Amino acid sequence: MTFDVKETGKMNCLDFNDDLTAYAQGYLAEERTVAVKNHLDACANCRAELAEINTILESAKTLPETATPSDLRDKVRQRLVAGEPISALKPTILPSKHKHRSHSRYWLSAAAVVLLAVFLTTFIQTGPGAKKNNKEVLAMQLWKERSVAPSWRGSLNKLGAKLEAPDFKDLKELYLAPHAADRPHETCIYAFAEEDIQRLRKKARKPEDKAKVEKMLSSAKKVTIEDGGIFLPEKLAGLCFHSDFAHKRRLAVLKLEGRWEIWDASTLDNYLRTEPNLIPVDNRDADMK
Amino acid sequence: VTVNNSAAAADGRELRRLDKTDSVPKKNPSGDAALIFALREGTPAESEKAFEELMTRWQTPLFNFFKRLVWDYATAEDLTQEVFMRLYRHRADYEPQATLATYLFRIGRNCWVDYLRRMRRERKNMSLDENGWENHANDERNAINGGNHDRWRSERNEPAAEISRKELSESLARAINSLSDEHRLVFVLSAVQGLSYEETAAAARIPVGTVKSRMHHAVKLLRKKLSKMDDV
Repeated sequence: MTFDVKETGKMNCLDFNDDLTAYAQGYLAEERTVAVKNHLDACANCRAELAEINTILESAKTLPETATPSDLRDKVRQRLVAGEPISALKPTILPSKHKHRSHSRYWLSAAAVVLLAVFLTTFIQTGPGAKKNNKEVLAMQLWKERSVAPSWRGSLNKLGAKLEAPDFKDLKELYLAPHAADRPHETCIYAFAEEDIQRLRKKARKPEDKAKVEKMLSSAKKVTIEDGGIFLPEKLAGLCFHSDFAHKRRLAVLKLEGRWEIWDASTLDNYLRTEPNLIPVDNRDADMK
Repeated sequence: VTVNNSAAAADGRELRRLDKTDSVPKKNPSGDAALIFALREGTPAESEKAFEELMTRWQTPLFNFFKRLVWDYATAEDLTQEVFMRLYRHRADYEPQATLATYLFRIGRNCWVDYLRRMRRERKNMSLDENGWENHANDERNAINGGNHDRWRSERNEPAAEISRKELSESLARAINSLSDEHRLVFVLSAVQGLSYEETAAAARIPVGTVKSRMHHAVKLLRKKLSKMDDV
């Protein structure tokens, strides 16, 4: 079988056609650049095509730029100062390939994020079938569950340092109290606001529960959220950190960039949803040992 | 990645060489590195200053990047703000081996993808309504005409070549908007913003070969669209 000259010419053009844009942009390998150039020397059609491509590329390069709004930077600052989450964007679902990051890279780049927001009576269970060898998946699962039942239990064993509080909205004071004195192996701290005290009393119906609540309240320390953080009393440093606020006021404690921070949970909620590089990780098991 | 400029010149064809100094966003890579360092490691005052400088440098490339992608002024502004917020909040995550251009446009790409997901959920169809198209077309026309709202009046005193250039710009802007999301992203990054194929690949999170092929198809589609516009 033979091709006539015209047909062969077409075949040649097709061979080089895919490379013309890269050639025009200067991104072809040297060897291929020479081959394309040789073809162009002999082919008027491809030269015409290249001229069109160049026109488009040149025009794209010189498309007029629109001036940015003059207050753009101010708006960014305002949103950052307000601790505003990234707009109203929806959660970024991590593609599966992101789950193959090495743990070292993960800890370095995304930092470890621990979320704790607990109501007094309801603790979320991870379920017996949870795969403990895949913390990222487990965390995402917990996060998902949390949106249904916003209850978290977490732990924190590195107290003593200042907990940063980037966005506590109108909350200026916290009560912190040791809890579960009857379980000495698990030194817990409860955190609650003044407005929650009546609710805590009301919730305890049995005499023993009432006594427990009163004991906790009497031992509570009031801490002020100032300068964007809380200094936890050393006495309260322990393994667990619980919060018990009225609904809509959930507390989240997280380790971000190696620093423990305490956040209004709804702020953190939005933040995590919009930050593809942050993965909530449940490392309760590690911390509670 | 090289191109034989002398051969191209001798051939009478104008080849565009893209290198570090040619691309729009990479004004001063070494300056960017110093600013990023100050942003990450500096005192609060130094960090603030660096962030301000970075915003000044990058707001226009990012804003216009989004403008080409979303075809909407307010959304482009919002997405630009989000890039800076993410840059600030994740300043510790910057990988020095990537250029700041790559890093910022990768954040931009993530913001845009999130935006598309949200829009697709809200409106099953991403088709632009008549008003949106018309508003943007006017906006585009005004930008091309240097803010002159009366395009036809402005043309009277201009040479034909200038009119032709403006018409081409306007047509090209419309044609870019008609590309698919994936082709539009690659074309805007590579051809409009002037990122190299490697940088485009890193920003768009696709292989370099895919960048090459998408650029080829994008240009092919643009040629078709523009020739149809000419026919009209």
